[in-house]
Amino acid sequence: MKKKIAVLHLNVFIKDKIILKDINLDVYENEILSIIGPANSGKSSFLRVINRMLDINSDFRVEGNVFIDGEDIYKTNVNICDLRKRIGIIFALPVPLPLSIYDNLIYGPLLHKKISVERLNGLVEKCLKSASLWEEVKDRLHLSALQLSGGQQQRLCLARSLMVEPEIILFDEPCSGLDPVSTSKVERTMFELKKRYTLILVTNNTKQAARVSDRTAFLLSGKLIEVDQTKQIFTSPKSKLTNDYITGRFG
Amino acid sequence: MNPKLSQIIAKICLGLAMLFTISILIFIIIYILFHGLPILTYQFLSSPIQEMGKKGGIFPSIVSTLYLVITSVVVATPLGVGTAVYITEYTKKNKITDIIQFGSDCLAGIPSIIYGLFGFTFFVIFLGMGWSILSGSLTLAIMMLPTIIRTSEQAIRSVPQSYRDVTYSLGGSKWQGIKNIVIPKALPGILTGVILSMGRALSETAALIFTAGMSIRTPTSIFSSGRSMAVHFYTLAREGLSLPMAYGTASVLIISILFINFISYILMNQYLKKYS
Repeated sequence: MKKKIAVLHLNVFIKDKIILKDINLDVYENEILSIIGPANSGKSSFLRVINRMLDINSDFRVEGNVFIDGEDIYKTNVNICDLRKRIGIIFALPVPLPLSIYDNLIYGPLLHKKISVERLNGLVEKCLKSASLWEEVKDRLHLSALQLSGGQQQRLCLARSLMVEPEIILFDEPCSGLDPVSTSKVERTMFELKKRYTLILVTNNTKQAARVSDRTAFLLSGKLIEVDQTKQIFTSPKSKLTNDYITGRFG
Repeated sequence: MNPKLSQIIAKICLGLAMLFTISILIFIIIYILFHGLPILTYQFLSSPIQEMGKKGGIFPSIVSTLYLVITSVVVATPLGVGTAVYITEYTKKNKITDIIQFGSDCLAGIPSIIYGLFGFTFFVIFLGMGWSILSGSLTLAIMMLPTIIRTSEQAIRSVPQSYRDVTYSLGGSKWQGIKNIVIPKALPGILTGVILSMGRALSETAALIFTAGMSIRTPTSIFSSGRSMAVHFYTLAREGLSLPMAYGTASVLIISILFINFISYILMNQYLKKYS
């Protein structure tokens, strides 16, 4: 399998406090890698290092390298906007913009270039279908996105990310606010998406990691304890810490 | 005292405070309109000022007021909103922003006559604009800035960070997020500030006497001198020229303020419906 992301000796500091310590991790094309670990273990920060969202709250420092398709994304001449366009992110709480469903979707593409209405409409339909939302909203695209249910909003956000045609999608605990039915819809969508995209899933729900991911990484206090095939991690992990965490005997 | 009794007493006291405030407001409005409405005819609104205001109408003052309010809003809004956006989005909270904040709060408390004096020495004399609508409007604009900056800033800060993150995550720039999401979302709050400050401009006298002058002719451009309604009212009442005419002018002022608030309230409601 082809390497999509390569992380080498990554240290991340926020306000001089170390958040991630010497992380070495590869992510392959068309896989779902899930990252599990307790709160404050640096999972979300890791995602924000990959799409450089960490840059927004400027007081940080990154050491080591992050390569995407062999290119170091922390080189000085990297175009951050282009990079973020290639890497979608779904936040823990769905963030529909206070606009109609349709306007939410076309917001991303229009940030980058002018596109004809026909092409936009085609793209809207395609992305809503990919996010398994098309059937539920096709007759009310011009209604406010805020009127959708939580699960629908999260899938709308997913569709919105797909609209800018990313290569990698990061999920930051995407189901933490959703009921089991919506959760399973999102998970099924992730299975479909994996055929075309590379997915990284940060989750607090170890069962979810076991259900959907190909490989699982366990982070603890900023250190990568173990990364392996999901089956391996959940049946016979190498580290005792991993074992304690997945069996709920942590602390 | 038992909680139930203190609850009742608190409610009564608070209610009385409210009643007192509201009745003063209503009394003023009714009193002015009672004396002013009989004067309000088409003749009054459309005739020139005659015999220093004892006769005729207030047409020139209406035109001056419109000129002054519109010009000052046009100047102050982009400056004020721009400052607020810069402070909230492009600087981090630190000593310097605190000082700017403190400074602009202080500006809001300076008596208007001091602004008038500044406008007189700077715009009228130094820049040679003379007594004109332009000098008056620029002075008013400076007076409006603190209110507009303060309210815009609060409105912009209340837009959740997550909306900004959405723009970033789709590969948008900071400015695209501000332009497309933050400002539209903050617009009702920003407008509230603009309307509040418009009220201040509409009712200003001291600063305008120094800068826009007292000419009773209808201004033909922003370079003419002109007498706003508030100034005209002040002159009529202060110099005892004609109390009925003063009340008539005051009624027009009050009605226009109510009208502006009413219209903006409707517009804002429609906008909010669309945006949420």
